[in-house]
Amino acid sequence: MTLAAPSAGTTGAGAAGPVIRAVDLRKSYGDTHAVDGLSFEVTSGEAFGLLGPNGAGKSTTMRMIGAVTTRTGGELEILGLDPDRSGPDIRAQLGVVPQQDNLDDELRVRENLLVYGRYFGLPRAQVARRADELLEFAQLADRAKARVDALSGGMKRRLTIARALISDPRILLLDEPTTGLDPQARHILWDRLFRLKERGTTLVLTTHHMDEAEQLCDRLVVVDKGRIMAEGSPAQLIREHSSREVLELRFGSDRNEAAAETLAGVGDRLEVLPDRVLVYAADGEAALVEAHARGLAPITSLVRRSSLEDVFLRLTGRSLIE
Amino acid sequence: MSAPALPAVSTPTAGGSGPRRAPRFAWWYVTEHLLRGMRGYLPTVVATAIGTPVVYLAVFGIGLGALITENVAPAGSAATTYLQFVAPALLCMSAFALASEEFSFGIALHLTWRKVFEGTRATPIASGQIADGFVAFVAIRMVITAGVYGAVIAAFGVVPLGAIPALVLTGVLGGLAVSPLAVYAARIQGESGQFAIVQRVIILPLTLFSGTLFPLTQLPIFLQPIGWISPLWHAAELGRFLAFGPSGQWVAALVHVAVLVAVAAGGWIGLRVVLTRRLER
Repeated sequence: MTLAAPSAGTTGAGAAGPVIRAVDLRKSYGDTHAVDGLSFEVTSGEAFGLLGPNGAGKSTTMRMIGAVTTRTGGELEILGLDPDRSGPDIRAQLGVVPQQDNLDDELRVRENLLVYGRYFGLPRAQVARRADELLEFAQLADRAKARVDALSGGMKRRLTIARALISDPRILLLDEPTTGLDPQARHILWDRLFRLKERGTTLVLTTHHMDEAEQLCDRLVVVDKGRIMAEGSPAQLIREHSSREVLELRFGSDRNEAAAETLAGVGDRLEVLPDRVLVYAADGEAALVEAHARGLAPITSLVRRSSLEDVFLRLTGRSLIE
Repeated sequence: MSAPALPAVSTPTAGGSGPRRAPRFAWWYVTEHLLRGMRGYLPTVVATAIGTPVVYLAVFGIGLGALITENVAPAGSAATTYLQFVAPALLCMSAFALASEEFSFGIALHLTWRKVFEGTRATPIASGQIADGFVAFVAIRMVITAGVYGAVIAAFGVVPLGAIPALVLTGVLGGLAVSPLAVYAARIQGESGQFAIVQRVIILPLTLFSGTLFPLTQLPIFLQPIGWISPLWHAAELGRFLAFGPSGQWVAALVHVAVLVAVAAGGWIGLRVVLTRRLER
């Protein structure tokens, strides 16, 4: 069975226009500016990411897109509607996967889908049919009657995603969908999300995992302290803000600074971190040969592709996960 | 690490009729959800609903009732035994106890501990409708509990069967007047024993000093205001009047109804406001 495209829904946005449009979006709590002038657009069928560390304003942005919290300033349109005025109409077209699972432990797995579907005003028979399909999709069909608290973290996450899909949403919002999951659970989840993306569901996700952003996002914005630092596809961001390869050298925590001085001029740029020195270069192997030629003997060395982590480090001077 | 091999899975189809904006009565979906959750502990609910009145009737009818031979009912009342005096109040007490539990722990459970209401808020349901649905759920639970209580006391011939529906409604109204507690519970971000204190310092004294087990006038005058402000006293007095009279005290009965309706409405509206603030920050 193939996954049908999401239904057109009842709101005003055409297929060609952006499904989300934010202009100078702001949200303040007292003197704290959680979101400080974000501007971006998301087109239909796109997988769009908000990448940033904890406290960057990603979740607050998601809550505004999800039409559960009002903005302090700027403009925001979801499916052509203003979330501050048309919250219920917008939420009827959204699926939301929160950062922290909020499944009902008092209900069984399938029941969680049934009660949630009713919130969208769907007929019981339709909700029941769709719940069974989604349990298959989430690979939880054999757990339909299980208690929620008996599920693993990855299963709960998949159930939360299945729940978010019960209304066949046009946009799926995922707030750090794989945080806290083991690698295998993350890969299973990515596979499910990738299938949704192939089907044409618009995905908007926040993450502070670079590999997740690279796996899932067509385009992303790097956010820090409520502001956009850069925008583009993962490959584009790496190309524009980092080198092709990165050489990681470890000399021991008290010798990195001195080693960095010796490495001056090697590669395009150097970054000294508490535990290692990063050499940004088009050819990492050649940079390693040059380091040895200058008499350096690192404890460990690693040549790898440049990643979004390097982009973030370059843009903010800080690591994504601190 | 490479992705694990995945079995072929079917994928969901688009729904026949798309999601709609939740209608005005969407609060019922919240109630429906909560009632479904209650099914998990239904045996406990039923056993408690039946067991509690039986135990209380035994204690007050066979035990304490045998010792209290004086008629403590007001002049003109058709109640002639202590058990008849206390039975309407006990029915109201059962609803009061349930309401005080749901309006404290129940709110915390769904709003703060399990954050179920946050999930609900992500749907077309409005925060106010979540409050409405929760209050309706508590009311239904009280109807069940007070209804069973009423059936038991009617079966024992303590209260006329015809008075039971009015008594159940009185109990539910008295329980809904505990809803200001829900406003407090919804404001608490992290529960660290506050509810235990509320139960011991507020709910228990209100239960004991509300003219339930003895007339309020037995208390020294300086303690009687505890009863006057207690929804349970108003409900118990109203229940006694509806079950046994005296028939001429309609004005007092209407005052009890007015107080209970006012407090219940205040709590309900307050819960809508606080839930909206909590869920839409």
